[in-house]
Amino acid sequence: MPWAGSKPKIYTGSKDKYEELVKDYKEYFPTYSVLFQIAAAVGIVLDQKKELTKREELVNTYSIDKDGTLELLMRIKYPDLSPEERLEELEKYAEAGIEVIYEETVSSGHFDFRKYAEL
Amino acid sequence: MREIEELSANIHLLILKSELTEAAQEIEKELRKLQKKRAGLRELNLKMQLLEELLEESKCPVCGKMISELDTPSIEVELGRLRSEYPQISEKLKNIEDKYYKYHNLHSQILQKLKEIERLSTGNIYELRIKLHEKEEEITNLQKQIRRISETLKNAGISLVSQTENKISELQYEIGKLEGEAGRLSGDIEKLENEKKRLEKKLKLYMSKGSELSEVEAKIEFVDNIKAALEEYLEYMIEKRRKEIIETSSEIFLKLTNKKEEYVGFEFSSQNDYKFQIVCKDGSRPDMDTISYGEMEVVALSFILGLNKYSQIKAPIITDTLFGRLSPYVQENIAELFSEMDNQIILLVLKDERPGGKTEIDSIAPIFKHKICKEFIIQRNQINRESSIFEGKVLVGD
Repeated sequence: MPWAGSKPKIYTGSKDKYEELVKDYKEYFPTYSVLFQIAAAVGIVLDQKKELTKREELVNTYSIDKDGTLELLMRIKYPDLSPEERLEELEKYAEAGIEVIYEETVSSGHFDFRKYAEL
Repeated sequence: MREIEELSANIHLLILKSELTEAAQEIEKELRKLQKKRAGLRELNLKMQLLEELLEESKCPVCGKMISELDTPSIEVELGRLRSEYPQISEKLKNIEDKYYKYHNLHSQILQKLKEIERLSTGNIYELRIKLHEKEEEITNLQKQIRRISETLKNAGISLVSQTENKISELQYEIGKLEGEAGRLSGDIEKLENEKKRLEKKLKLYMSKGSELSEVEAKIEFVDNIKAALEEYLEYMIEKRRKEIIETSSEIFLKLTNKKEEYVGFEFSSQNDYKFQIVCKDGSRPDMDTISYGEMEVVALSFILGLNKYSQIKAPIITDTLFGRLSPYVQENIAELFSEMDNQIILLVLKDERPGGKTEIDSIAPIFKHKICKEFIIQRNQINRESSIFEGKVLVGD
């Protein structure tokens, strides 16, 4: 388990955005876990972080990084932080990422991940 | 959708591919730096070890050549310089080694991830989304066509679309009404079903009560039958008893009467009343209005005594100056009959008020004297116009 021993839940300050995107754009974001992973990835590649204005429970930690890639990246980026602190940093990346995804998807009706993959 | 879901689970890896590649490159740089550093430290460490051994053994550890005493101070100076310039070289080397292995490990993991990402097939998700996109475009085109056709029709003055829409609205309204009606009817049906159930229950109750009624009717009929039978039996018994009474009374009458040769008895004059009719031996029936009072009294007394025989209660018999109009023969017969009876008999008789005067039954009194229980005398005070009664001894005693 990549994040074993860390805090068990993932939190967000943008639960309404998650709900709307998963409800209306299921073909892109079938679950909250998938959307969080993509949001975190977008935040990381854009190198943008945002503090959570509130902390609403989103998903279980074990469901967001089954292959351990996010954990590996966060370990590389923050070698001196504890796993819990790294997770909090990851939440901040996702908080910035979800804003970008929401803007793009709601305004265009589409989400093309390739433009982030090509960065 | 499930396919999209599975493929979407790896989208973040595709996004992170560049980040991982960059991280791998950074780590490679770091590894190279560490490698260089590690090589320098290893060289220095080896040099220091050689100098230490040279001083300890006074010969070269590589070629075995002996060193002169003149060389020793310069070797010691060099070793001291190196020690002061590079203190704790072993620890530093160990730290560098640890750091190197740590980065090496991370590098391996990143390379492994990148390999995995390379293997990810994004073709399917592209295809699926392309198909989805195509369908969406088709839908958009169709919507455009519909709008265009609708516009054309409107422009042509044929408001077919509008009519159709109106028709649809009407039908929808109608459907709504019918649905409402269906709902109402369902409610009614439900109510009626409940009413039916209630009535069925009631009917069952009545049926059970009906069977009770039939049972009661049957019982009433049975009771009526019994009553009729009893009435019939009663009539029969009455008739029988009537015959028995009249026969017994006739027998008594024949015992009492002084016309034993002339009469055979008496009977009731008709079926419906109790008027008496004397029957002669020749079958003739004398007119009862013409017979003497004495005979009438004998007939009546005979009947009372005959009736008395069949009575459950032995009623007292009271006679009022019975004997005055009867012949001495008949008087004796009555006296004998009275003396044999168990009934209480009260005889009201006249007495000659003159001194030494007799009663009307003095001649027959000896026949039932032993049965006389008490005697009373009723005396009239003509001045006060009142009667008084007192016990006396007239027949018994003297």
